[in-house]
Amino acid sequence: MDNKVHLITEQDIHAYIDGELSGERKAAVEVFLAERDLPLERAARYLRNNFDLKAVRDEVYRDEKLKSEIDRLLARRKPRRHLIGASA
Amino acid sequence: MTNQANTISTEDLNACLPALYRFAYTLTRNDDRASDLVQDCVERCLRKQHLFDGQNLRSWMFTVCRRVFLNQIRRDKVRGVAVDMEDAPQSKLSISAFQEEKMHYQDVVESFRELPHNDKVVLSLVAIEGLKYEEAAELLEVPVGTVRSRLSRARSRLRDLLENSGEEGTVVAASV
Repeated sequence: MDNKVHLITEQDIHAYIDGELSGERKAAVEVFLAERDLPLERAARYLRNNFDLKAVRDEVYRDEKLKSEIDRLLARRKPRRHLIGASA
Repeated sequence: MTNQANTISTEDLNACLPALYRFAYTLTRNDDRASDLVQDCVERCLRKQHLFDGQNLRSWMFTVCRRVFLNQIRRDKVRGVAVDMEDAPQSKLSISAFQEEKMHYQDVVESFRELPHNDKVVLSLVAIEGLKYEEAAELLEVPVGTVRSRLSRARSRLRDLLENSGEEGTVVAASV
């Protein structure tokens, strides 16, 4: 659509997987990944790791030190009204 | 050119298939499931081709593939396919593929256990709890950039650990 050049970094790929990107930046990462086999495979693997970690959540949280830290951090979470319904 | 944007040629579609299959295989870790995913993805792309903007077919197909895979994961989660042995015959997973899947999850748990504590925390917040980077940064009292770099490091360590656990390469043989 335009001639802007986007420099895509490793961290952009993580951000893409985690749903942090939108608009032009997201499209740029998609095009970048579509044209490169290795980064695409790596992105798919990270994406898969996200699902896997969710799937083994209970086992992961058997680590009491980790579980108590996550609980402590999440307890400090503020309600974020502006994020509600903003997932699309 | 813009008039052509709403149609996808069979030639273009076929050219995308090998890469799409590799992408699907990395996601599903199983030949049959990868083939099914590609099939679902192609069907969806053809049905929804009026939504294709005519820019980059490969990129659009990966986006569709990712979405179809997400839907399958959600559906399987509801049906308990990945965790409930009784559901296995109904699903397209053979018993050996199912065991393979269980072993893979075990590898994930064990590899995760090996990570430094900070890696575990950031991955738990973002990958398991689904927090936005900004929110994770607030809770950890670090800049967003630190969350990004920790996450990138943690994922690459996890990837190395998983590769060393010997899981790669065993799947193909087991699923034939």
